[in-house]
Amino acid sequence: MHGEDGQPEDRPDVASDIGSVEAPSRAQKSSRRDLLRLSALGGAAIITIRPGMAQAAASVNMCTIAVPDAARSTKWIKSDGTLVSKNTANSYPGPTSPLKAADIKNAINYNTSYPGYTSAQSSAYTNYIKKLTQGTAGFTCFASIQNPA
Amino acid sequence: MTLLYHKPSGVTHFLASPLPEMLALLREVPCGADILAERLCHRLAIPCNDEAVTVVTERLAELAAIGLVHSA
Repeated sequence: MHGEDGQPEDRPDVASDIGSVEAPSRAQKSSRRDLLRLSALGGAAIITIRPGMAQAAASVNMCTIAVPDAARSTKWIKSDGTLVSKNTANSYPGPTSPLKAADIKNAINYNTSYPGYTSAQSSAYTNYIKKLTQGTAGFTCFASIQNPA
Repeated sequence: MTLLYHKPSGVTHFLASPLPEMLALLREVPCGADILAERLCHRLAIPCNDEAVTVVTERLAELAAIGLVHSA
């Protein structure tokens, strides 16, 4: 069944034939035939590109983000998402446990609050998450949430 | 080369000839590999032979594997 694949009959001039857009009809037919044959000879006909950090939908919903990240866990989160010293006006202590991807997704898309927290707190947490950049803790999870998977 | 975004999986595919032509034909009228090979050869104005059927059969399986086509 795959016997034909091994035949060394592919002509080396195939690539130049494909390039000739305005070739006469006969050459066009020849190039199309070669193209079809070329596909038969094991060249990849499909190249698939997946979003870099998106994983399976299940795992996306499994990840969590600590707010703030462990290294700055004593900081509070201001309403605009920046980290400040505790007891600063318009700021809140972080949630007691890391926020779940599914909740973050809802908060970002539908402005919902995190379970057990007020809308002002939730908004501050979401703003903090939106400020996460490559290399910071939680960014991979945040990126996964945003990518379709 | 045809760039195709598959919404259900959120995945992007580059398709080389003759896959876009095969998809276009299937979209017009769904059919099996043998008939598709004949239609493809007719569309490309080339004679249909066993090699063409082999190519179409294998490429069709690849399209099925990534979820772009499915058997009825």
